[in-house]
Amino acid sequence: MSRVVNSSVSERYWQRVRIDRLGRLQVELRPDAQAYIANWAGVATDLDLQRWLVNQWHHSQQALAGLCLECFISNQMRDFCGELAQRFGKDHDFSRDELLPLVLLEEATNAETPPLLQRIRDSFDPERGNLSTWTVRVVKSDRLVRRFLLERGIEQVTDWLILNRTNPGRLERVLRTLNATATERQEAQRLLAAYHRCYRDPLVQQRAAGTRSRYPNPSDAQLLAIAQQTAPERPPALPQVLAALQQLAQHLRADRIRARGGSVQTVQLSDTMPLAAPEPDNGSESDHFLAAYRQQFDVCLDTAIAQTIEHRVTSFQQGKQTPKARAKAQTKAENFLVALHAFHCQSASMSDIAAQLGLRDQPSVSRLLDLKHLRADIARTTLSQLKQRVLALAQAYVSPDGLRDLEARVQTVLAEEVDAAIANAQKEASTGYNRAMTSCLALAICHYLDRRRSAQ
Amino acid sequence: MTTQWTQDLQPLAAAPEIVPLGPTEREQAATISQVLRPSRRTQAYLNVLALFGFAAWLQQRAPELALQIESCTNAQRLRAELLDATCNVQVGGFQVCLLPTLSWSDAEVALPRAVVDLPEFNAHFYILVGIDEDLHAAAVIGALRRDRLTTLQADLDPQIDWTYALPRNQFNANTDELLLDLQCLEPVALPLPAAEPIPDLSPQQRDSLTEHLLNLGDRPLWEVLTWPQSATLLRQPRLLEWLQRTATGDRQSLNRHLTDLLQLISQPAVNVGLWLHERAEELTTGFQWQLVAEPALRRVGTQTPGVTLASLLNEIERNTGTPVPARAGRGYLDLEIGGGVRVYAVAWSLSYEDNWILLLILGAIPGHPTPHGLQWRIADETDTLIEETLLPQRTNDYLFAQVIGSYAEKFLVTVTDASGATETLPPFEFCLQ
Repeated sequence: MSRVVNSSVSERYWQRVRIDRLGRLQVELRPDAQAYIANWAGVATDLDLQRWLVNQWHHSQQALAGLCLECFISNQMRDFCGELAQRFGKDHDFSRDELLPLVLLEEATNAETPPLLQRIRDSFDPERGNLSTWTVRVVKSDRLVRRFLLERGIEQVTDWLILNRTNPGRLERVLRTLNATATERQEAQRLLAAYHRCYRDPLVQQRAAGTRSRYPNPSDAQLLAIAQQTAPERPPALPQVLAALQQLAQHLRADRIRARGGSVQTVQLSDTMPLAAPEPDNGSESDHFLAAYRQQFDVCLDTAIAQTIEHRVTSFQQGKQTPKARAKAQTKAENFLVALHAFHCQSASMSDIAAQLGLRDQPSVSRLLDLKHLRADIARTTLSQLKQRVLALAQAYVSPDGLRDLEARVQTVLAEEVDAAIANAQKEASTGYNRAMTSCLALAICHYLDRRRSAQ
Repeated sequence: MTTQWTQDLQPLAAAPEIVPLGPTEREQAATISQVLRPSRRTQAYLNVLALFGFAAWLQQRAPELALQIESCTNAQRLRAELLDATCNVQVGGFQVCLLPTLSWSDAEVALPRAVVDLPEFNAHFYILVGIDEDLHAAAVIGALRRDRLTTLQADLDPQIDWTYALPRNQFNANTDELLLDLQCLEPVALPLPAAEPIPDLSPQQRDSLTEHLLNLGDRPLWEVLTWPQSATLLRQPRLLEWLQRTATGDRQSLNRHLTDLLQLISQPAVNVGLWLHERAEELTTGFQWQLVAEPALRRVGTQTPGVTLASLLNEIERNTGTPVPARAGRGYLDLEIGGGVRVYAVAWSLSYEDNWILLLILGAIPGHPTPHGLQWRIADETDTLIEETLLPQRTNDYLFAQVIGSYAEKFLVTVTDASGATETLPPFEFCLQ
């Protein structure tokens, strides 16, 4: 018999992955865990080893067995976060090292919720699968992780989420495309309606009342209720109900993928709303625009910058009810102003700003400044101001295309460099990035911030 | 192996600008949805969260835009119950309709037919609001402008549950453009379809709607009603109020009132305000009221309807202290049931209170026997007001009632004789000239 738990696999059981106080990844060797594992006389798969460890941990209170499990989980967490960053990090602007601290958190965020790693260790049941899969599953459904991903534009789509949001009209259409018979369609509709009544509605109400729980698999009681409502005369067995629900979700999932049709969403976007993109050589046009309204434009731009920045500063504070949250918001607002000044007035790179403010990295600064929206808000408010001041432009405001055209011109005037700066900031290496902010927008922002400072 | 780890993760078109849904907001949403029929609570809860999420986002990005929610459909609980959206939210000069979704990456949007086809719920912008009620988070994730929807409308077919399935890519994920339009565009740039009058229901449609509403229970409307019936229901606040009351009120009396209510909102009414000018309308329903002038001189022994009415009114005034002003419209109508009965109606306006009064007397046509066992029922749009039977032991040989209402209110009278034969009179209204 060969030993399947070879050295390259089993080191995962005695190397503990950690995040140190500076947020850096550390791999800590645990000779005690290594020695403990060596005691294991078993020869077989990872799963056998995991089953033995769980047994030792739960029933014999062997702390070292628990430690081995923790080591394994922490390795798996690192790999999974790496996988996520590799697959999505570039398009969605995040790195593995941003995600890892949330996952490897060693202190409980609150009394009811122990750290993720402990939760995985204590809830792991080897009879229902191996520890790698379980770790990934629990990490993905963790609230901090889900929020992190959703904020960056990634949604976890489970069978239950699909069923929760499916309306009868869509189910009917999907089943028709699968050539389901009328009876089959009726049965599926009854199943979906019963599922909504017995699973979705009570869960949503619990959450409304403040109880927090991710979408778990339906409980036996819920499955029983669904079975009874679907076929009151001859309720199906529970595993059958679960299988039927999962199958329904599979059909709907397949239809979602079909509906996406492999088309890239950013392409669809420009299909939908043709943005009146400025011509490459429309310099003369924007010059003309500027010449005609220069004076009004400058006044409007200054007003818009003041409004937008002041508003951004106050909005950090909104809805912050605890003193701690307020203090945090205050720091964020101060950081925002410093970063904005450094970026526009000193032409600092985002990595430099991160270092200056003690923030993690460039993406953190990028999110703090949120230049894309900041600029959109300034341009829009400028237009709104212009509308009130320049009657000659009134015609542009009565058609969506005219408005977009005007907005594009204003954007052009404002900030070619900012576009480039935003694009560059995303791929910006931490070294040797030089630029000077000379755009009309950068100068006006800088001017405003300087006045703001001297007024204080 | 590892692609399995990430295959259930779906990218969105853009990183959403997430706003938190706090405990106060969630509590309020739960309270609003809790009074509704159980099957509607989840959707109603999400509708309210969508509004809170949208308001918070607007506050964050464009606080200078005025948001008005007083007339939004969440505030009208009845419409909140039946619409899978929050409509009639006003932003500056625009109407917006919020569509909550639990699935942010979904490639399809279910647009309720009502918000597209019924003028009451039309919007300049249909705004998709992602809700994650576990993370207590919301975000505006797409918008469809009305002009865009209009170009798509010809190709839309309603699904069985009265939704239109729209590809998600028809919704612009660039929320900066939505804000640009909301803040800078002139509303005239996006004309909405003109409001249409609510079509009258035929007696058959009315009967069928009554029957279906009585059997609605907790089932969704699309399973029970036809689309025109549902459209009538959604557009008629009174019907919605009725439906709302079935959750808590006395079923039997509500059921009885439904028939009256449907007549009140769908039948042409007699404008008794015109009687003051001694004009009677010709109604197509076959009931023709005879107007009577107040007799200037009461000639003894002459039994004109005017004289009979005047003496009845005198008696009523003596017994009840209810005077009838000189400036009142008076009329009568003879019915064949009960062996020939006469209804007198007297109406006048209390202009200083913005109310009007309808006084009704039901008795035998002079010379006919007293129709014992005769019943009447008087209803307005909210309830049955009076139900009374003419019994032999009564002192009077007629029934008498007086009701008071605002100028927007109508009254309906139904008369049933001892054999069970029934006549419902056209509703009474009092329109100011």
